[in-house]
Amino acid sequence: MFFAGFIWLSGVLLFDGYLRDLGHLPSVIDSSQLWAQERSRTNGSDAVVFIGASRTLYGVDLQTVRASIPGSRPVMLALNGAYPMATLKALADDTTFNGTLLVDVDARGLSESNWDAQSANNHYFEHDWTPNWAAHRWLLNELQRHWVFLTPRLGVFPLLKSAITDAPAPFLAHDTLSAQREGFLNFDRVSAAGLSEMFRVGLVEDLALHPPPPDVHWLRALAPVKQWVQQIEARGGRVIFFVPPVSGHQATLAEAAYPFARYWQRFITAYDLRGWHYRESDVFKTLELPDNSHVDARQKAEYTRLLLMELKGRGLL
Amino acid sequence: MQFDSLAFLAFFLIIAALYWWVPGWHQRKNVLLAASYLFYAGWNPYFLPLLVTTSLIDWRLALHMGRTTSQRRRKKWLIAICTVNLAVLGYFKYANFFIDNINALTTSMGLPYLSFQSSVALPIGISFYIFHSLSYCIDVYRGGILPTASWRDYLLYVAFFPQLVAGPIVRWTTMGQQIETPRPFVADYFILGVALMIVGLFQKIVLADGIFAPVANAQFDQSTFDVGVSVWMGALAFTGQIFCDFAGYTTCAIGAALVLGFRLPVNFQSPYAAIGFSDFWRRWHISLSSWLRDYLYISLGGNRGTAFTTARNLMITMLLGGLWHGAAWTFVVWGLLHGLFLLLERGVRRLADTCPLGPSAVTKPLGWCITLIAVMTAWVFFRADDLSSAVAMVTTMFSVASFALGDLADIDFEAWWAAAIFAVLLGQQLITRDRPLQALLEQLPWPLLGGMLGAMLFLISTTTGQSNAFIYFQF
Repeated sequence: MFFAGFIWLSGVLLFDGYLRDLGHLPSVIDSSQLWAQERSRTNGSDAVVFIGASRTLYGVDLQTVRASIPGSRPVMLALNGAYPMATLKALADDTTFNGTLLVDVDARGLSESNWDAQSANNHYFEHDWTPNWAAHRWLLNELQRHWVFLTPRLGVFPLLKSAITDAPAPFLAHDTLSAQREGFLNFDRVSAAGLSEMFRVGLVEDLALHPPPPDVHWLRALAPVKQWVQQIEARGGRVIFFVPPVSGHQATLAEAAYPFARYWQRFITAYDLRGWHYRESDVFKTLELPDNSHVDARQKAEYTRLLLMELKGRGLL
Repeated sequence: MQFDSLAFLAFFLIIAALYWWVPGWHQRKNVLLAASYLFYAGWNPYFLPLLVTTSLIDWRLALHMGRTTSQRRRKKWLIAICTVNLAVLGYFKYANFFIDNINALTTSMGLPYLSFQSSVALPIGISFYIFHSLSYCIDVYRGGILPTASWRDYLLYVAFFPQLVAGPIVRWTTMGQQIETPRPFVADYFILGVALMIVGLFQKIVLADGIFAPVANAQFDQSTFDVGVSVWMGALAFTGQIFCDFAGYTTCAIGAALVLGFRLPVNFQSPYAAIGFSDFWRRWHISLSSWLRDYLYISLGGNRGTAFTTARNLMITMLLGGLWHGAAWTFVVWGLLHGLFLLLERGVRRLADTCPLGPSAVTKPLGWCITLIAVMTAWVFFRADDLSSAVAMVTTMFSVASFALGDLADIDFEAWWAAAIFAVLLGQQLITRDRPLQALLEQLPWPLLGGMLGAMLFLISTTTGQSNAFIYFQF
């Protein structure tokens, strides 16, 4: 048994060293369990819950939120690559939620075709999240913070596959995550121009695949959203919709597909909601982002401070 | 709790240390009972009272039954026990299925307004612990065992955490004496137990979840099933996945029990090396097949009547065995298919008795191939989301038109990898056909055993994807 332990320990230490030599970094890895861990912290009126996609996951600095809103308990539920409408509905239906909800969603994300993007995570939380997995995830967070080999995509089999076939070796990630699901991007580790182009192509393809619906239909389909907001407000909570800044191609393409005045602005005014769009701010309108979409970890605190200042300044927060 | 979670690892280290540290046997049993309930609550604490209450009711009723001498009154007690247990099982496991079918019927009759809502949550492991209780009570009724006077011992028998949620389904005849007499600490058993837990986790995490499940899921989640080779790959991957998932759980359970000084029965013995379907059921989920044989098939009359009644008893047993696995028509068809296979085998054996079918060097490999292919085909019904998908897949598997040589080029690396590992698994089962895993591990020289376990631990540690629940948890 000691011999087995020796083989195992030698193996993981060597493997971890090898991965570090390749440039990989330890990080807590996001999963439906990690999301559920944070989702289980949303009850209480002091909860300030962020839902949205990558711009919020990697843009909002939770420490700055804590400092800017005294007595608050920030919870990060934004999910990389998934619009948040399913989570908005789930929180509306959750009678224990009566906190502040900040919803990062643009006009494209409000389209009905994107409403189910976070359904799988909500389903996991409602049906499969157990005390066992809560304890498991807490322990795994502690281990993943220190050991690279616990990153699933860097396991032996993906490396074996890239060695045997012409599949590319696992890429060097430029993002890391904390156990509270706070994301950090380091643009020194990646080509920002390359990422920007990748996002542009992705957006063009998605818009071709899911063309914007006529604004009248789009707006009518959003009637349930008003009802969800009312459910939360009836319990003493509040909901603030916001669109974080994008720049370059991202801004141009988004505006061409879903013009601000015809879509977002009408959504907020027609349903009498609390909302803010980066186009309404001179500071954010001209903000240049490394990949046209996200902020670097070194800009996060300042970015969050300005964002909260805008929301507070307009009486939304 | 799940064996493949860090929560269980921490739990087991603490419980094993505490168990061997406390001095008296009674205290050790108290530790085990408390740990077992904590283990169960790790999944859903709200269903813990159900487990405790049903166990206490069964213990009390069985005690009354055991003290009664009148056969007529004993029978009444048994009927009461079976009614309570089957009502609990029926409600939690089959209410949704029943209501869904009523709804489908009323909708098809043009009466959708007569439909009902169904959302009964299934308590984990309910089929297993109810079967534990039933076997105990039926054995008391038959006079095979005396009921225990200790409620604590009975609760521990039902809830003993290594086998609580997914078996093996252990009889009181196996566990009673082990619970009643102190378990000595035997270093060799302890080490063997740890080794079995490592092997079980390797089967579950690396083989079932890491290699077979992605290929099986990719195929079974398709909306169309046109390419024969792909469908066969999916069936093959699920054949590997279900074995490694369930056998992995059982191996962990046997190992964990052994660390605590208890011996649980072998539940899998190289099932894919079976020659014939009766041989398969002597090797696959042995504790369930022997339960169904002893308490259902024999109670129905077994093979004591005519050929027709024997066939009827077999089909009823296999149908209920299928339904035990899950409340869905796919499980019913799976059970019926196995019943049909067993009947066909009986016919073939009778034929072979009257006219020899050929040399065993030919018939044995042929019998093995036919068994394996039939078992794989039946697994498609077990895994498919619905009957129509299963029928579409099986039709493609056996349709010549769905095969083209060029399709092989489209099979991805993961599927070939799964096929290669499956071939190794088959080879291992054929070679070690009649040797239990425990015996094999005990025979290995320590450098080889240590090296193998170290390598398995390394692969377990570096295959940390999203954990999938054990497939048999839902049963």
